[in-house]
Amino acid sequence: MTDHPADPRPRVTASNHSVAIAGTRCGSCGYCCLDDSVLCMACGSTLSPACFSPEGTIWAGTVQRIEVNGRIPPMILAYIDLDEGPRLLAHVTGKVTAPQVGARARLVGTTKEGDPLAEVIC
Amino acid sequence: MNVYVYGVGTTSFGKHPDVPLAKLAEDAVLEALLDAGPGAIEAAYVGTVFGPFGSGQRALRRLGLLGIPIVNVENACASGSTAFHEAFWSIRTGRFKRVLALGLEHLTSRFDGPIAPEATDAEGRSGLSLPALYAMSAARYMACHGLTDRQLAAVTVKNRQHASTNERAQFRTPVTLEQVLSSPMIADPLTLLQCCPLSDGAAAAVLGARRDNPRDVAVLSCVLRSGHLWDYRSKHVWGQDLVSTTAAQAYKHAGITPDEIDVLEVHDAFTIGEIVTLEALGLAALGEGGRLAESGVTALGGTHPVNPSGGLISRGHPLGATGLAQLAEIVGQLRGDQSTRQVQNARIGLVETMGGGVSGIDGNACVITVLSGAAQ
Ligand SMILES: [Zn+2]
Repeated sequence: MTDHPADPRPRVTASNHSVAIAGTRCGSCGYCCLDDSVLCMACGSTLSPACFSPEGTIWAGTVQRIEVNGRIPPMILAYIDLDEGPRLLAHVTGKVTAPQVGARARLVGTTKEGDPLAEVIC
Repeated sequence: MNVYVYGVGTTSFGKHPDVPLAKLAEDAVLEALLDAGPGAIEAAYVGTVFGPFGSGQRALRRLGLLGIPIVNVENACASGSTAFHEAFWSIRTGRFKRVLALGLEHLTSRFDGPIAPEATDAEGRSGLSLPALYAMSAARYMACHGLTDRQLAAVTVKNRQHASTNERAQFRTPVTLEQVLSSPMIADPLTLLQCCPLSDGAAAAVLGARRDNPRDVAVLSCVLRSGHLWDYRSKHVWGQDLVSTTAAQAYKHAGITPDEIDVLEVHDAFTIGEIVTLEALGLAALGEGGRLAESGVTALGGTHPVNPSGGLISRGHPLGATGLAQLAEIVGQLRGDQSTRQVQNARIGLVETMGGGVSGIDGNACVITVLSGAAQ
Protein backbone atom coordinates (compact mmCIF):
# COMPACT_ATOMS: atom_id res chain seq x y z
CA MET A 1 0.00 0.00 0.00
CA THR A 2 1.22 3.46 -0.85
CA ASP A 3 0.15 6.98 0.09
CA HIS A 4 1.01 8.17 -3.42
CA PRO A 5 -0.60 6.05 -6.11
CA ALA A 6 0.38 6.63 -9.74
CA ASP A 7 -0.25 10.24 -10.72
CA PRO A 8 -3.63 10.47 -12.51
CA ARG A 9 -3.27 14.12 -13.58
CA PRO A 10 -2.91 15.23 -17.22
CA ARG A 11 0.70 15.31 -18.47
CA VAL A 12 1.93 18.79 -19.23
CA THR A 13 5.06 18.93 -21.37
CA ALA A 14 7.33 21.95 -21.49
CA SER A 15 10.36 22.49 -23.71
CA ASN A 16 12.08 25.58 -25.13
CA HIS A 17 9.35 28.13 -24.34
CA SER A 18 6.59 25.87 -25.60
CA VAL A 19 4.06 24.17 -23.37
CA ALA A 20 1.65 21.45 -24.49
CA ILE A 21 -0.51 18.80 -22.92
CA ALA A 22 -0.60 15.14 -23.81
CA GLY A 23 -3.76 13.14 -24.42
CA THR A 24 -5.53 11.05 -27.02
CA ARG A 25 -7.68 11.64 -30.09
CA CYS A 26 -10.15 9.25 -31.72
CA GLY A 27 -9.45 8.54 -35.38
CA SER A 28 -13.09 7.61 -35.91
CA CYS A 29 -15.22 10.28 -34.18
CA GLY A 30 -12.59 12.89 -33.33
CA TYR A 31 -13.23 12.80 -29.57
CA CYS A 32 -10.34 14.31 -27.59
CA CYS A 33 -9.42 13.58 -24.02
CA LEU A 34 -6.54 13.93 -21.59
CA ASP A 35 -6.68 10.32 -20.40
CA ASP A 36 -4.24 7.75 -21.73
CA SER A 37 -7.20 5.44 -22.40
CA VAL A 38 -7.02 2.60 -24.90
CA LEU A 39 -10.53 2.97 -26.33
CA CYS A 40 -12.51 6.08 -27.20
CA MET A 41 -14.91 6.86 -24.35
CA ALA A 42 -17.38 8.32 -26.85
CA CYS A 43 -17.52 5.64 -29.56
CA GLY A 44 -15.32 2.72 -28.55
CA SER A 45 -12.85 2.99 -31.45
CA THR A 46 -9.09 2.86 -31.07
CA LEU A 47 -7.38 6.05 -29.90
CA SER A 48 -4.11 7.61 -30.98
CA PRO A 49 -1.79 9.69 -28.80
CA ALA A 50 -2.21 13.42 -29.32
CA CYS A 51 -0.62 16.62 -28.13
CA PHE A 52 -2.82 19.66 -27.55
CA SER A 53 -1.74 23.28 -27.78
CA PRO A 54 -1.93 25.34 -24.57
CA GLU A 55 -4.57 27.98 -25.32
CA GLY A 56 -8.25 27.87 -24.49
CA THR A 57 -11.30 29.56 -22.99
CA ILE A 58 -12.40 29.56 -19.35
CA TRP A 59 -15.60 27.51 -18.91
CA ALA A 60 -15.81 28.56 -15.25
CA GLY A 61 -13.49 29.40 -12.38
CA THR A 62 -13.43 29.75 -8.61
CA VAL A 63 -11.13 30.44 -5.69
CA GLN A 64 -11.06 27.53 -3.26
CA ARG A 65 -10.49 29.05 0.18
CA ILE A 66 -10.43 25.90 2.31
CA GLU A 67 -7.61 23.47 2.92
CA VAL A 68 -8.18 20.02 1.41
CA ASN A 69 -5.68 17.15 1.36
CA GLY A 70 -3.07 19.48 2.86
CA ARG A 71 -3.27 21.84 -0.12
CA ILE A 72 -2.85 25.40 1.14
CA PRO A 73 -5.58 27.90 0.22
CA PRO A 74 -6.35 30.05 -1.60
CA MET A 75 -6.22 27.95 -4.79
CA ILE A 76 -7.43 29.54 -8.01
CA LEU A 77 -9.07 26.86 -10.14
CA ALA A 78 -10.70 26.83 -13.55
CA TYR A 79 -12.08 24.51 -16.16
CA ILE A 80 -10.48 25.51 -19.46
CA ASP A 81 -11.87 24.31 -22.79
CA LEU A 82 -8.72 23.99 -24.86
CA ASP A 83 -9.01 25.23 -28.43
CA GLU A 84 -8.07 21.80 -29.73
CA GLY A 85 -10.54 19.89 -27.61
CA PRO A 86 -10.39 18.67 -24.04
CA ARG A 87 -11.77 20.39 -20.97
CA LEU A 88 -8.98 20.70 -18.43
CA LEU A 89 -9.04 21.46 -14.71
CA ALA A 90 -6.11 23.77 -14.06
CA HIS A 91 -4.70 25.90 -11.30
CA VAL A 92 -4.41 29.55 -12.32
CA THR A 93 -1.64 32.01 -11.47
CA GLY A 94 -2.11 35.69 -10.73
CA LYS A 95 -4.37 37.68 -8.48
CA VAL A 96 -6.67 35.84 -6.09
CA THR A 97 -9.95 36.20 -7.93
CA ALA A 98 -12.13 33.73 -9.81
CA PRO A 99 -11.11 33.58 -13.50
CA GLN A 100 -13.94 35.02 -15.59
CA VAL A 101 -16.19 32.80 -17.69
CA GLY A 102 -15.24 33.25 -21.35
CA ALA A 103 -11.79 34.72 -20.67
CA ARG A 104 -8.84 33.43 -22.69
CA ALA A 105 -6.24 31.37 -20.87
CA ARG A 106 -2.96 29.63 -21.62
CA LEU A 107 -1.16 26.72 -19.96
CA VAL A 108 2.22 27.78 -18.61
CA GLY A 109 3.47 24.59 -16.93
CA THR A 110 2.75 22.89 -13.63
CA THR A 111 2.49 23.97 -9.99
CA LYS A 112 5.20 22.77 -7.64
CA GLU A 113 2.73 20.04 -6.57
CA GLY A 114 2.44 18.91 -10.22
CA ASP A 115 -0.95 20.32 -11.21
CA PRO A 116 -1.54 21.82 -14.68
CA LEU A 117 -0.99 25.58 -14.30
CA ALA A 118 -2.50 28.29 -16.52
CA GLU A 119 -2.63 32.05 -16.74
CA VAL A 120 -5.45 34.29 -17.89
CA ILE A 121 -4.41 36.18 -21.03
CA CYS A 122 -5.18 39.88 -20.66
CA MET B 1 -46.12 -5.89 -8.27
CA ASN B 2 -46.90 -2.41 -6.92
CA VAL B 3 -44.55 -1.22 -4.20
CA TYR B 4 -45.41 0.62 -0.99
CA VAL B 5 -43.42 2.19 1.81
CA TYR B 6 -44.75 0.60 5.02
CA GLY B 7 -42.62 2.53 7.47
CA VAL B 8 -39.74 4.98 7.86
CA GLY B 9 -37.33 5.88 10.65
CA THR B 10 -34.44 8.28 11.21
CA THR B 11 -32.04 9.46 13.87
CA SER B 12 -31.60 13.11 14.59
CA PHE B 13 -28.96 14.55 12.25
CA GLY B 14 -25.86 16.37 13.37
CA LYS B 15 -22.49 15.73 14.96
CA HIS B 16 -22.69 12.60 17.12
CA PRO B 17 -18.98 11.80 17.61
CA ASP B 18 -19.61 9.65 20.69
CA VAL B 19 -22.47 7.58 19.28
CA PRO B 20 -21.33 4.43 17.46
CA LEU B 21 -22.52 4.03 13.87
CA ALA B 22 -24.30 0.77 14.75
CA LYS B 23 -26.32 2.57 17.44
CA LEU B 24 -27.44 5.25 14.99
CA ALA B 25 -28.45 2.56 12.51
CA GLU B 26 -30.36 0.59 15.16
CA ASP B 27 -32.37 3.66 16.18
CA ALA B 28 -33.40 4.35 12.59
CA VAL B 29 -34.19 0.71 11.80
CA LEU B 30 -36.22 0.15 14.99
CA GLU B 31 -38.32 3.22 14.27
CA ALA B 32 -38.95 2.03 10.70
CA LEU B 33 -39.82 -1.51 11.82
CA LEU B 34 -42.29 -0.23 14.44
CA ASP B 35 -43.82 2.14 11.90
CA ALA B 36 -44.22 -0.69 9.38
CA GLY B 37 -45.84 -3.13 11.81
CA PRO B 38 -45.15 -6.84 12.26
CA GLY B 39 -43.76 -8.98 9.45
CA ALA B 40 -40.51 -10.71 8.52
CA ILE B 41 -37.83 -8.73 6.68
CA GLU B 42 -36.62 -10.90 3.81
CA ALA B 43 -33.61 -8.85 2.66
CA ALA B 44 -31.72 -5.64 3.51
CA TYR B 45 -30.08 -3.11 1.19
CA VAL B 46 -27.63 -0.82 2.98
CA GLY B 47 -25.97 2.34 1.63
CA THR B 48 -22.90 4.09 3.02
CA VAL B 49 -19.91 5.91 1.56
CA PHE B 50 -17.31 5.92 4.33
CA GLY B 51 -18.70 3.20 6.62
CA PRO B 52 -16.57 0.14 7.40
CA PHE B 53 -16.74 -3.00 5.25
CA GLY B 54 -19.75 -5.08 6.22
CA SER B 55 -21.61 -1.94 7.32
CA GLY B 56 -25.00 -3.57 6.88
CA GLN B 57 -24.08 -6.67 8.84
CA ARG B 58 -22.54 -4.53 11.61
CA ALA B 59 -25.65 -2.35 11.76
CA LEU B 60 -28.18 -5.20 11.81
CA ARG B 61 -26.34 -7.75 13.98
CA ARG B 62 -27.68 -6.64 17.35
CA LEU B 63 -31.22 -6.42 15.95
CA GLY B 64 -31.00 -10.07 14.93
CA LEU B 65 -31.67 -9.21 11.31
CA LEU B 66 -29.30 -11.91 10.10
CA GLY B 67 -29.38 -14.92 7.84
CA ILE B 68 -31.13 -12.93 5.09
CA PRO B 69 -29.45 -11.44 2.02
CA ILE B 70 -27.71 -8.22 3.14
CA VAL B 71 -26.39 -6.11 0.26
CA ASN B 72 -24.02 -3.19 0.90
CA VAL B 73 -24.00 -0.49 -1.77
CA GLU B 74 -21.96 2.67 -2.42
CA ASN B 75 -22.91 5.42 -4.90
CA ALA B 76 -21.42 8.54 -3.30
CA CYS B 77 -24.12 10.86 -1.90
CA ALA B 78 -26.78 8.74 -3.60
CA SER B 79 -25.80 5.57 -1.68
CA GLY B 80 -28.91 5.50 0.53
CA SER B 81 -31.11 6.25 -2.47
CA THR B 82 -29.41 3.47 -4.41
CA ALA B 83 -30.15 1.07 -1.52
CA PHE B 84 -33.79 2.20 -1.71
CA HIS B 85 -33.79 1.74 -5.50
CA GLU B 86 -32.53 -1.83 -5.18
CA ALA B 87 -35.07 -2.53 -2.41
CA PHE B 88 -37.84 -1.12 -4.61
CA TRP B 89 -36.95 -3.34 -7.56
CA SER B 90 -36.67 -6.43 -5.36
CA ILE B 91 -40.34 -5.98 -4.46
CA ARG B 92 -41.43 -4.76 -7.90
CA THR B 93 -40.06 -7.87 -9.58
CA GLY B 94 -41.59 -10.17 -6.99
CA ARG B 95 -38.30 -11.40 -5.59
CA PHE B 96 -39.27 -10.46 -1.99
CA LYS B 97 -42.44 -9.47 -0.13
CA ARG B 98 -40.93 -7.17 2.54
CA VAL B 99 -37.44 -5.65 2.65
CA LEU B 100 -35.43 -3.03 4.51
CA ALA B 101 -33.50 -0.12 2.97
CA LEU B 102 -30.98 1.56 5.27
CA GLY B 103 -28.55 4.44 4.87
CA LEU B 104 -25.90 5.32 7.43
CA GLU B 105 -22.86 7.52 7.85
CA HIS B 106 -20.53 8.66 10.63
CA LEU B 107 -18.52 11.47 9.09
CA THR B 108 -17.20 13.00 12.33
CA SER B 109 -15.09 9.90 12.88
CA ARG B 110 -13.61 10.24 9.38
CA PHE B 111 -13.09 13.96 8.73
CA ASP B 112 -12.22 17.08 10.74
CA GLY B 113 -13.04 19.43 7.87
CA PRO B 114 -14.27 19.03 4.32
CA ILE B 115 -14.37 15.62 2.69
CA ALA B 116 -10.98 14.89 1.15
CA PRO B 117 -10.96 14.60 -2.66
CA GLU B 118 -9.95 11.18 -4.00
CA ALA B 119 -6.22 11.16 -4.78
CA THR B 120 -6.49 8.49 -7.50
CA ASP B 121 -8.77 10.82 -9.46
CA ALA B 122 -7.19 13.46 -11.74
CA GLU B 123 -9.22 16.38 -10.43
CA GLY B 124 -9.15 15.09 -6.87
CA ARG B 125 -5.35 14.92 -7.00
CA SER B 126 -5.32 18.54 -8.15
CA GLY B 127 -7.21 19.44 -4.97
CA LEU B 128 -10.69 20.10 -6.41
CA SER B 129 -13.24 19.88 -3.59
CA LEU B 130 -16.96 19.36 -4.12
CA PRO B 131 -17.80 22.92 -3.00
CA ALA B 132 -15.39 24.22 -5.67
CA LEU B 133 -17.00 22.02 -8.35
CA TYR B 134 -20.45 23.40 -7.45
CA ALA B 135 -18.99 26.91 -7.17
CA MET B 136 -17.94 26.73 -10.81
CA SER B 137 -21.54 25.87 -11.75
CA ALA B 138 -22.67 28.94 -9.80
CA ALA B 139 -20.05 31.11 -11.51
CA ARG B 140 -21.20 29.84 -14.88
CA TYR B 141 -24.84 30.63 -14.01
CA MET B 142 -23.93 34.13 -12.91
CA ALA B 143 -22.11 34.81 -16.16
CA CYS B 144 -24.57 33.12 -18.53
CA HIS B 145 -27.97 33.52 -16.86
CA GLY B 146 -27.58 36.53 -14.56
CA LEU B 147 -27.93 34.51 -11.36
CA THR B 148 -27.28 36.76 -8.34
CA ASP B 149 -25.62 36.25 -4.96
CA ARG B 150 -28.93 37.07 -3.32
CA GLN B 151 -30.76 34.39 -5.33
CA LEU B 152 -28.18 31.83 -4.19
CA ALA B 153 -28.46 32.95 -0.57
CA ALA B 154 -32.27 32.83 -0.72
CA VAL B 155 -32.03 29.03 -0.98
CA THR B 156 -30.29 28.82 2.40
CA VAL B 157 -32.68 31.33 4.01
CA LYS B 158 -35.68 29.26 2.84
CA ASN B 159 -34.26 25.91 3.89
CA ARG B 160 -33.16 27.20 7.32
CA GLN B 161 -36.65 28.55 7.85
CA HIS B 162 -38.09 25.15 6.92
CA ALA B 163 -35.77 23.37 9.34
CA SER B 164 -36.69 25.66 12.22
CA THR B 165 -39.46 23.32 13.37
CA ASN B 166 -37.79 20.04 12.36
CA GLU B 167 -36.52 18.72 15.67
CA ARG B 168 -34.22 16.26 13.87
CA ALA B 169 -32.46 18.90 11.76
CA GLN B 170 -28.86 19.88 12.41
CA PHE B 171 -29.41 23.66 12.02
CA ARG B 172 -32.74 25.03 13.27
CA THR B 173 -31.90 28.71 13.65
CA PRO B 174 -33.23 30.92 10.84
CA VAL B 175 -30.68 33.12 9.07
CA THR B 176 -30.96 36.29 6.98
CA LEU B 177 -29.70 36.94 3.46
CA GLU B 178 -27.06 39.23 4.94
CA GLN B 179 -25.85 36.52 7.34
CA VAL B 180 -25.57 34.02 4.48
CA LEU B 181 -23.68 36.45 2.27
CA SER B 182 -21.33 37.66 5.01
CA SER B 183 -20.36 34.16 6.21
CA PRO B 184 -16.83 33.09 5.23
CA MET B 185 -16.21 32.43 1.53
CA ILE B 186 -15.58 28.72 0.86
CA ALA B 187 -15.31 28.67 -2.93
CA ASP B 188 -16.32 31.86 -4.77
CA PRO B 189 -19.26 32.61 -4.92
CA LEU B 190 -20.39 30.02 -2.34
CA THR B 191 -20.18 31.08 1.30
CA LEU B 192 -20.08 28.78 4.32
CA LEU B 193 -23.85 29.01 4.95
CA GLN B 194 -24.45 27.86 1.35
CA CYS B 195 -22.69 24.55 1.99
CA CYS B 196 -24.07 21.47 3.72
CA PRO B 197 -22.46 20.58 7.06
CA LEU B 198 -20.54 17.47 8.10
CA SER B 199 -23.15 15.18 9.68
CA ASP B 200 -23.69 11.81 11.30
CA GLY B 201 -26.93 9.88 11.11
CA ALA B 202 -28.99 7.01 9.77
CA ALA B 203 -32.34 6.59 8.08
CA ALA B 204 -34.36 3.54 7.07
CA ALA B 205 -37.48 2.43 5.24
CA VAL B 206 -39.48 -0.80 5.11
CA LEU B 207 -40.98 -1.57 1.70
CA GLY B 208 -43.40 -4.23 0.58
CA ALA B 209 -46.18 -5.28 -1.73
CA ARG B 210 -49.73 -3.93 -1.51
CA ARG B 211 -51.48 -4.71 1.77
CA ASP B 212 -54.24 -2.04 1.85
CA ASN B 213 -52.98 -0.16 4.89
CA PRO B 214 -54.11 3.49 4.58
CA ARG B 215 -50.80 4.79 5.96
CA ASP B 216 -48.76 3.02 3.28
CA VAL B 217 -47.30 5.31 0.64
CA ALA B 218 -47.18 4.08 -2.96
CA VAL B 219 -43.92 4.26 -4.91
CA LEU B 220 -45.03 5.28 -8.42
CA SER B 221 -41.51 5.11 -9.88
CA CYS B 222 -37.87 4.86 -8.86
CA VAL B 223 -35.09 5.44 -11.40
CA LEU B 224 -31.30 5.21 -10.99
CA ARG B 225 -28.83 6.45 -13.58
CA SER B 226 -25.12 7.18 -13.72
CA GLY B 227 -23.68 10.13 -15.60
CA HIS B 228 -22.35 10.14 -19.15
CA LEU B 229 -19.07 11.86 -19.96
CA TRP B 230 -18.98 15.51 -18.88
CA ASP B 231 -16.50 17.31 -21.11
CA TYR B 232 -15.98 20.03 -23.72
CA ARG B 233 -19.07 18.87 -25.60
CA SER B 234 -21.36 19.45 -22.57
CA LYS B 235 -23.52 22.54 -22.86
CA HIS B 236 -24.88 22.37 -19.33
CA VAL B 237 -23.25 22.63 -15.92
CA TRP B 238 -22.12 19.53 -14.09
CA GLY B 239 -24.93 17.11 -13.23
CA GLN B 240 -27.77 18.93 -14.95
CA ASP B 241 -28.11 16.52 -17.86
CA LEU B 242 -28.00 13.51 -15.54
CA VAL B 243 -30.83 14.85 -13.36
CA SER B 244 -32.99 15.78 -16.36
CA THR B 245 -32.64 12.41 -18.11
CA THR B 246 -33.33 10.56 -14.84
CA ALA B 247 -36.36 12.78 -14.19
CA ALA B 248 -37.78 12.21 -17.67
CA GLN B 249 -37.74 8.47 -17.08
CA ALA B 250 -39.16 8.79 -13.55
CA TYR B 251 -42.05 10.97 -14.78
CA LYS B 252 -42.78 8.55 -17.63
CA HIS B 253 -42.86 5.50 -15.36
CA ALA B 254 -45.05 7.34 -12.83
CA GLY B 255 -47.33 8.79 -15.51
CA ILE B 256 -47.08 12.32 -14.10
CA THR B 257 -45.87 15.76 -15.17
CA PRO B 258 -43.78 18.12 -12.99
CA ASP B 259 -46.84 20.35 -12.41
CA GLU B 260 -48.52 17.56 -10.46
CA ILE B 261 -45.83 17.34 -7.78
CA ASP B 262 -46.97 18.82 -4.47
CA VAL B 263 -43.75 18.53 -2.44
CA LEU B 264 -40.08 17.74 -3.17
CA GLU B 265 -36.88 16.87 -1.34
CA VAL B 266 -33.89 17.55 -3.61
CA HIS B 267 -30.11 17.50 -3.36
CA ASP B 268 -29.12 20.96 -2.07
CA ALA B 269 -25.62 20.01 -0.89
CA PHE B 270 -24.82 23.55 -2.06
CA THR B 271 -27.33 26.31 -2.88
CA ILE B 272 -26.60 26.21 -6.59
CA GLY B 273 -27.43 22.47 -6.51
CA GLU B 274 -31.07 23.15 -5.63
CA ILE B 275 -31.34 25.76 -8.40
CA VAL B 276 -29.83 23.58 -11.14
CA THR B 277 -31.77 20.52 -9.98
CA LEU B 278 -35.16 22.25 -10.03
CA GLU B 279 -34.53 23.34 -13.62
CA ALA B 280 -33.56 19.78 -14.52
CA LEU B 281 -36.73 18.52 -12.84
CA GLY B 282 -38.79 20.86 -15.03
CA LEU B 283 -39.93 23.31 -12.34
CA ALA B 284 -38.22 26.21 -14.08
CA ALA B 285 -36.78 26.90 -17.53
CA LEU B 286 -33.01 26.73 -18.04
CA GLY B 287 -31.40 29.70 -16.31
CA GLU B 288 -34.60 30.68 -14.47
CA GLY B 289 -34.16 28.50 -11.35
CA GLY B 290 -32.67 31.34 -9.31
CA ARG B 291 -36.07 33.01 -9.14
CA LEU B 292 -37.81 30.11 -7.38
CA ALA B 293 -36.56 30.53 -3.81
CA GLU B 294 -36.37 34.31 -4.15
CA SER B 295 -40.04 34.59 -5.16
CA GLY B 296 -41.36 32.09 -2.60
CA VAL B 297 -42.52 29.47 -5.13
CA THR B 298 -40.45 26.78 -3.36
CA ALA B 299 -41.14 27.90 0.23
CA LEU B 300 -43.71 26.25 2.48
CA GLY B 301 -46.96 27.92 1.42
CA GLY B 302 -45.69 28.34 -2.17
CA THR B 303 -46.98 26.35 -5.14
CA HIS B 304 -44.05 23.85 -5.14
CA PRO B 305 -42.51 23.57 -1.64
CA VAL B 306 -38.96 22.22 -1.88
CA ASN B 307 -36.98 20.75 1.01
CA PRO B 308 -39.56 21.18 3.79
CA SER B 309 -37.21 19.21 6.09
CA GLY B 310 -34.54 21.90 5.68
CA GLY B 311 -32.68 19.98 2.96
CA LEU B 312 -29.07 18.87 3.13
CA ILE B 313 -28.05 22.43 4.01
CA SER B 314 -30.06 22.52 7.25
CA ARG B 315 -31.22 18.99 8.09
CA GLY B 316 -27.63 17.82 7.52
CA HIS B 317 -25.89 15.58 5.00
CA PRO B 318 -24.73 12.24 6.40
CA LEU B 319 -23.90 11.04 2.87
CA GLY B 320 -25.19 7.46 2.82
CA ALA B 321 -28.17 8.31 5.05
CA THR B 322 -29.32 11.33 3.07
CA GLY B 323 -31.49 9.64 0.44
CA LEU B 324 -33.51 7.78 3.05
CA ALA B 325 -33.76 10.89 5.24
CA GLN B 326 -35.26 12.69 2.22
CA LEU B 327 -37.61 9.75 1.65
CA ALA B 328 -38.74 9.77 5.30
CA GLU B 329 -39.65 13.45 5.01
CA ILE B 330 -41.75 12.91 1.87
CA VAL B 331 -43.48 9.83 3.31
CA GLY B 332 -44.38 11.95 6.37
CA GLN B 333 -45.68 14.71 4.11
CA LEU B 334 -47.86 12.31 2.08
CA ARG B 335 -49.30 10.88 5.31
CA GLY B 336 -50.04 14.38 6.63
CA ASP B 337 -47.79 13.80 9.67
CA GLN B 338 -45.49 16.84 9.50
CA SER B 339 -47.48 19.29 11.67
CA THR B 340 -45.95 22.78 11.46
CA ARG B 341 -44.09 22.07 8.22
CA GLN B 342 -46.89 20.05 6.59
CA VAL B 343 -47.68 20.87 2.96
CA GLN B 344 -51.49 21.02 2.82
CA ASN B 345 -53.17 18.27 0.77
CA ALA B 346 -49.85 16.86 -0.46
CA ARG B 347 -50.67 13.90 -2.70
CA ILE B 348 -47.62 13.50 -4.98
CA GLY B 349 -44.06 13.81 -3.69
CA LEU B 350 -40.62 13.51 -5.27
CA VAL B 351 -37.18 12.65 -3.89
CA GLU B 352 -34.01 13.44 -5.88
CA THR B 353 -30.48 12.53 -4.77
CA MET B 354 -27.25 13.20 -6.66
CA GLY B 355 -23.86 11.65 -6.01
CA GLY B 356 -20.62 12.93 -7.49
CA GLY B 357 -16.88 12.96 -7.23
CA VAL B 358 -15.48 11.02 -10.20
CA SER B 359 -13.85 13.50 -12.58
CA GLY B 360 -14.93 13.59 -16.21
CA ILE B 361 -18.42 12.20 -15.71
CA ASP B 362 -21.70 14.00 -15.18
CA GLY B 363 -22.31 12.53 -11.69
CA ASN B 364 -21.71 9.13 -10.15
CA ALA B 365 -25.41 8.50 -9.72
CA CYS B 366 -28.79 10.19 -9.61
CA VAL B 367 -31.85 8.55 -8.08
CA ILE B 368 -35.36 9.96 -8.46
CA THR B 369 -38.38 8.50 -6.69
CA VAL B 370 -42.01 9.56 -7.17
CA LEU B 371 -44.46 8.69 -4.40
CA SER B 372 -48.17 9.11 -3.78
CA GLY B 373 -50.20 9.11 -0.58
CA ALA B 374 -53.46 7.32 0.19
CA ALA B 375 -55.51 10.27 -1.05
CA GLN B 376 -54.31 9.41 -4.56
ZN1 LIG C 1 -14.48 7.98 -30.94
